[in-house]
Amino acid sequence: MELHQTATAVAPSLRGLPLSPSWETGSPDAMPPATGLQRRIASDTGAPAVKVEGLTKTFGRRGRQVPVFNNINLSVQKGEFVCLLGPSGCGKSTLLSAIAGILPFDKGSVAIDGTTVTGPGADRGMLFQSPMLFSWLTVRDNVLFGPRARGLMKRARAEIGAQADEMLSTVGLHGFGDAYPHELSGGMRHRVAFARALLNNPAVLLMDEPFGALDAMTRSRMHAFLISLWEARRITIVFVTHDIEEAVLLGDRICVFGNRPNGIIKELEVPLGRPRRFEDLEEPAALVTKRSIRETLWAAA
Amino acid sequence: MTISALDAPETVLDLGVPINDPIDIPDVVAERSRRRRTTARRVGFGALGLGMAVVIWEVVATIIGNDIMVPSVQSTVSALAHYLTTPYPSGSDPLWEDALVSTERVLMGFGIGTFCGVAVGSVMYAVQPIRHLVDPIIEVTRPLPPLAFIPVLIMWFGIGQTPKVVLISIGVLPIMVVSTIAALDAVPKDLEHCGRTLGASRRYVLLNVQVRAALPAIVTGMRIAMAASWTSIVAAEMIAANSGLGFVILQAGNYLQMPLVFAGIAMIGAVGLLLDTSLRTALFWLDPSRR
Ligand SMILES: Nc1ncnc2c1ncn2[C@@H]1O[C@H](COP(=O)(O)OP(=O)(O)OP(=O)(O)O)[C@@H](O)[C@H]1O
Ligand SMILES: [Mg+2]
Repeated sequence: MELHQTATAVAPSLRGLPLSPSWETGSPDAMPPATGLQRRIASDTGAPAVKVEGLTKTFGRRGRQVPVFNNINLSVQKGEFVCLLGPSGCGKSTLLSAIAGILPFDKGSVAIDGTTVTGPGADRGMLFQSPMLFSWLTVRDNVLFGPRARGLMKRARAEIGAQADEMLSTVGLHGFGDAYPHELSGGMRHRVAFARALLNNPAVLLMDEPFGALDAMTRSRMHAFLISLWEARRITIVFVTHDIEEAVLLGDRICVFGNRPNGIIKELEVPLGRPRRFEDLEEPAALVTKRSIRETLWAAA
Repeated sequence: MTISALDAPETVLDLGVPINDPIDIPDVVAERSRRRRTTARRVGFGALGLGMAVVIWEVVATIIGNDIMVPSVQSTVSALAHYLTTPYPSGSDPLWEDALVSTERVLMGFGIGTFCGVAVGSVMYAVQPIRHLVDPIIEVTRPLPPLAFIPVLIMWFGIGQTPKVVLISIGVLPIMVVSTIAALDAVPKDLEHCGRTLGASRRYVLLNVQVRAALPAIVTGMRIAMAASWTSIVAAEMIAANSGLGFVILQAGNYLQMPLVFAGIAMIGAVGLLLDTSLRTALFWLDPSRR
């Protein structure tokens, strides 16, 4: 509520800003109150959100072949937060891109909510190391990119617009809809990318070292943000990182990769409670988990 | 209302996470108006720079004191004023009509060259074998001076408007091919992936993400190509022309009418500036970070 009032008090100063006529139209008073958070109501088929079976990928043509992994299996339950952890070049990004459908693979299958997928689709949102915002679109239009590209805007323009505004409030960017990406800070841009991916209501959110390029402070803020976002919406997440600390802080389960082409060599549950707090990392259980991961990685190297 | 991040109240999300953003809405507004002021100042400085160039020109002309070597600003201006409405050579067109004729040739050549260049560049970007096939041809033709083509163009297209326009587009084409490819290459692959994972079709992403992201750089290429097409206007109007700024400059040069030569050059500069300004305006609208 606090947030809403602040934004309303601030917004009138934006009126009469000649650079952005659209600012006039999005009257803050007309926006729905920032009530919050709908959970994803999945059609519960009992199938895991993500099921990867026997995935095999080799780069290169005749002659120099680079096998990245053979026969990888991965199953992610609905609402689960899984971290993929491993040394550089072990194939984490390759696996994530294969799940996203933007990288063809040799053998195996990927199923989302029990349906086998081939190409990319709105059911799998992806966040990259940099936010990949469209610099020519306002924050709001960035967030609306998915529905617009999928032709949903024609049918339910007002409704989706309201959802976008609500999503912007959720990520703490109420009132910034008409700003351009270059006018925001790094962390804010990342949160726009979250809002944009979440507006599609994807079955799974794939993240490839999303906070790798951020400074330490912004990074922990984004961790806190992500933890609470997950608490509120119980999104299914596959999160790629090479930071043991980050994996333990965020994940329910960690898949540890060996060197290429060994694939996933160990899976372990994170024995920490939810909602996750930063202090949890100092629990003995967390220390044991971290040590176990470290030893696995070192033994593999 | 908060002005700076320091005394901004902590934004508390519904999620209960405090997010202490370094940027608040007033900051965005302030930054925008600051940039607008900077733009205004830049225009002011630009005018000042041009004025200084004119002053230096006048000083040099006074020192040399020879209107045929370096005509003074006054004699150039009076030649400009005189011939703007008086035909030169007698029986042909006044200078303003010459400017119009040349602008038309430049715009046609520039338009055709740009269109073909962007098309060829996009195809080369999309189809790798075509790129490898066409690339050396472009590279070989790129350094050729427009003058070298004149005899051939006369043979092929006669002496009308066509060879002149073609000559200009020959200069524009490789510039636009190269800059279009460079612009598309510079769009990160992940931007395409990002669009695709948001549910957009390949076609939608190509047009609304990749080409759109490349557009500012393509327009920058167009600015360079526009300058190049003015560079070849004099060569183009060597082809049996009886009008146009290039023709007037050549003609006046032959009769040592230096103030008129300079007046013609000044006209080219003025029209060139006008056209470049319109491209820069396009850039302004295409790329929010330049506003
Ligand atoms: N397009 C490609 N062509 C050939 N080999 C590739 C290609 N992309 C990746 N590879 C190779 O596949 C392997 C796995 O790459 P991948 O990007 O998945 O690693 P990663 O685990 O994400 O590493 P990082 O932590 O550095 O991001 C690497 O050895 C890399 O050299
Ligand atoms: Mg990677």
